[in-house]
Amino acid sequence: MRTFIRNNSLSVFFLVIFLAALVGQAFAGWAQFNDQQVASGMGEIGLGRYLTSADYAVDVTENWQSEYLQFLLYILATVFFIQKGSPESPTHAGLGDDKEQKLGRHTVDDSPAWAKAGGVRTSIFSWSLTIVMASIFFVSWLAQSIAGWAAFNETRLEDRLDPISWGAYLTNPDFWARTLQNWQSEFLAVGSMAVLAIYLRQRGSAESKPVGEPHESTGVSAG
Amino acid sequence: MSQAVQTGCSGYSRSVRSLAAAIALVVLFSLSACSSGNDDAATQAAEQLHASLRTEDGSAACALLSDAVQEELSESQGSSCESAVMAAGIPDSGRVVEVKVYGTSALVRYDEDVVFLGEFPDGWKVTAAGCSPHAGAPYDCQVQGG
Repeated sequence: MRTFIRNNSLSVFFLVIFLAALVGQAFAGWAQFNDQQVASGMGEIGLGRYLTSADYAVDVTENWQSEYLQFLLYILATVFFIQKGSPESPTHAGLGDDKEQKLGRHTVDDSPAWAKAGGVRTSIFSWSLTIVMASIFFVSWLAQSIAGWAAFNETRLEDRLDPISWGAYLTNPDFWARTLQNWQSEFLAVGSMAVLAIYLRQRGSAESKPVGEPHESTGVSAG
Repeated sequence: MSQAVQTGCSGYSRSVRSLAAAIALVVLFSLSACSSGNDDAATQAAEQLHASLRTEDGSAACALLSDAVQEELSESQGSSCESAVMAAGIPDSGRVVEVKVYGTSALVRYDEDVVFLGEFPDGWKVTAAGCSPHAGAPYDCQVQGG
């Protein structure tokens, strides 16, 4: 068990702080929701009810979709774009040849089975990270649109307005304000990291170049 | 070597199954958030309000109104809630033509009336009644609160 945790400490660390933040968000969101209910003359709800509410669902999923989009774009952008000096950037754009990618006759004994299989399976496996990240992004965005629609209509009914259809919600400013406010911050963070990592270092981090590595070195990480 | 291949393959399948389960969870999560089994309860509260008005039971009618509506009624009409609700001019309902429930809010549309409700710890309460639409603006209601 101890060995497992040591070998997977990065994943375990993020899982723990993810769950802690999700629980914290639940309590903070619940209190905020009830404050708004009281202010508008509506009834308060219990924590269990809040956890299955549209309000909580939309707040969770709007952040999930933007985070997965961020990493999806970073994965794809680093195939086709270069940032000279960045440890995250490839030295040259493109998908790489079989030798670089350890495919075909360049596979090794412990290469993944689907990398060795060839044909469709290797093609799918070659894009599997993008496929999975894109799937989670689209599902989260769909979930955001459904939960956001329900939460938006809940507020409209409180304000004695007719509810709107899901289709109408997809062109509503509420949906796009929630979406774009998350996207802009993710794009800024990932773009600035790519640039800052040219000139700045974090000793020991796989996201940084070695401290003594020249600023001009591209695609070199300390990991 | 063959063992390494087997391990890699089953590990990949497990990841795919885990992903499918996670995606299903997210969809269920969002669907559960927008669906509710409260249509009947909200409709029942609106029906009881109209039934109380028909039998001129102001006390029963007031018990179905939210606190904010009761206060607004008493203040605006300068009388008890029981008297004020009977004098408010809430039209006789007709039949239910539409029920919409989103979370803790609901709308019950009748032939002759629109009733808005909210879910409170002691059940659904009317937050506005005797409402008529105003294009692009909130419904104009005979009784409302907040």
